[in-house]
Amino acid sequence: MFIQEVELFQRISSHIIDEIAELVTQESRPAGDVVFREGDVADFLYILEEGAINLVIRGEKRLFFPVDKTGSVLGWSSLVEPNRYTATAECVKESKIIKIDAERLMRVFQRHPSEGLTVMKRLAGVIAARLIQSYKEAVAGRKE
Amino acid sequence: MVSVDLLKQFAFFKGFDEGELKKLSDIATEESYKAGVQVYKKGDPAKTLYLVKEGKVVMVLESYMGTAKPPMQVTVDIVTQGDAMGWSAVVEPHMYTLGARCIDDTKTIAFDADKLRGLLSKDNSLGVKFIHATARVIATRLTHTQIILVGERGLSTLTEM
Repeated sequence: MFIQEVELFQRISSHIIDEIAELVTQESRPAGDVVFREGDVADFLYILEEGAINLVIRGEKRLFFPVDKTGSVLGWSSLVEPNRYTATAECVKESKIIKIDAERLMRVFQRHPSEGLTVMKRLAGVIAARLIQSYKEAVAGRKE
Repeated sequence: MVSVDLLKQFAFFKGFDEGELKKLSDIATEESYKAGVQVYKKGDPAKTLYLVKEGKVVMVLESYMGTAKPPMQVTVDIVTQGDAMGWSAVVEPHMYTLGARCIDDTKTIAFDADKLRGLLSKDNSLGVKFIHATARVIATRLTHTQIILVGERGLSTLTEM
């Protein structure tokens, strides 16, 4: 998968894509593998390339959000203070992921604010989508 | 218009420089709401982003319970002094995702969504900082909601009939 195909980075100029590509590594993770844990310091942003990952939140009850769409963003906490993952990411099956150094990515955005704004807006949309999903869960929980 | 010093009191603006705060203060206004007033409803076009200067606002999720019952209202968060609300003003599709109702007399600093979006698209460095701060607000609300969801306490219900 090429970086410019990732929804988060779509229509970003190619010279900036080149800068982002330098911050990226590709990884293959086996089923059952934990990509990051809730509460850990969040240094990396991940993009799902292939496979399926569950985002798990543990408490008295266990809550999980399945992520299986290619290009999905995981670990947005790496770009938002306090930079701690808010969920644990567990591979449901063998998965390919793209790992991006978040601090350096943020510096790319600061150097290129126009593109930075586009990507940050999309990222805010990702967090918002997860929040709306949580609200749905909250209401469903009350109705039971 | 409000003063730059007033904006500086909000954690939301941590890391913003004087010039950026000046631009924001130029488009900000102060508003007051009496206890009991609904500032906005879920699904309303998000025309304003607010910072709470004083008072208390409950963020309410309404759930349709069928034709025979009134909608169930669930409080998912409480917004108090120093907090922001109405982040949908800068995040598409620009529709509020919760209702906001004052439970105390409340004073806010209000940013008109059109002016704010105009400013952010003109000054992209400011835009990155502002959306970053907004992302922090959404993330905080997500964390609060998740704590409620996995906790045994559950959600508190405002009106359930």
